[in-house]
Amino acid sequence: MVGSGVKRGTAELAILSVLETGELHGYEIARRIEQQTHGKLRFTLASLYPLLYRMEKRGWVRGEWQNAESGRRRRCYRLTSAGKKKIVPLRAEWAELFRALRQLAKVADA
Amino acid sequence: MPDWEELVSRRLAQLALDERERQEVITELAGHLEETYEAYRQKGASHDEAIRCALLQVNNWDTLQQAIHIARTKENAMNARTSRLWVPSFVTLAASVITLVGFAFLGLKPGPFGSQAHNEIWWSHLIGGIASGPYMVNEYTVWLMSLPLIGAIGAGLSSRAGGALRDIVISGVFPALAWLTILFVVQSFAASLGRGLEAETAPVNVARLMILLVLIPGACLLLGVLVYHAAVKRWTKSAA
Repeated sequence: MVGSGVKRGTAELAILSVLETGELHGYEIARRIEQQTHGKLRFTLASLYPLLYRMEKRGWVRGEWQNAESGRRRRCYRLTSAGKKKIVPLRAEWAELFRALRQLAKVADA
Repeated sequence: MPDWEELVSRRLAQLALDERERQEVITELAGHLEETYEAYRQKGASHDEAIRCALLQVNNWDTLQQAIHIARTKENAMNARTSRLWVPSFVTLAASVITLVGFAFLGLKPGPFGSQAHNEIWWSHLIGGIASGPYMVNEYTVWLMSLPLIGAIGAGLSSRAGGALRDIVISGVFPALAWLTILFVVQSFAASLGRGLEAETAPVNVARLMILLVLIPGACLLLGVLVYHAAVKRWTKSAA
């Protein structure tokens, strides 16, 4: 299980990544992230929404109310062009970090 | 099934947002809890067990309330529009005016940084020069050459703040838009004042100023914006 500090750092990238596939509401965002990371990353309501709202303020995602088939009103989020632009450097940063960590691990193993 | 909206509303009673926004947050969070509850029920949990598990989504409602408040109001002091459009626009405008005044004070002549005659006032010198003499063309040309960089800075500031393409373009070419506004204002005031300003408000002079202060600088600024945009696009592509 990944620690909470790293989770916080990766959270934005995780949300942006699942939204790349299309618009989703909050519960579905959390479910997809958990499913796609095989449970290693889990968002609770308390960790997800403050982050989503912050990302919306920054203009990376945009939320819109929609009526689901069940009649329930849901706020669906989609990536904005600023969010799409943000995802590339974020991914590059994290890839670089993980490469560095792998190298450190190799040195430690040797 | 519990009334999730009522439950969330009670727990977020102190959430200091305007009523419409607060209600939206409550509806959204209640929907999330309801779906969590239903998912547990589908997995075979009892009613009470499903409620208990759904409520485990939030350890501390006060902390959540505070986090939501910060997330939704943090940018109030400088809202998105300010940081994406107005700040970059005014930086671009200030930079273009400072360079214009600076070059006029330096009185650039056909040699680098030649001095201008002492009895010339910079602005009359500038306007007169732009309008008529080959002498001023150098100062004006140097100013024009600096504008693509200024346009690119404005576009960069807007883009970094998450501005949409429209904000980026407006921020970059804002000085030209400001000059256009100034010309219109001067034109209408001069027309209403009448005497003594006939020469300045003559259609030929207005057209000339429009070309020299709006169209050509606007094109230079736009060039900077386009180069910045193309460079970012290229960098983004290669990083991908």
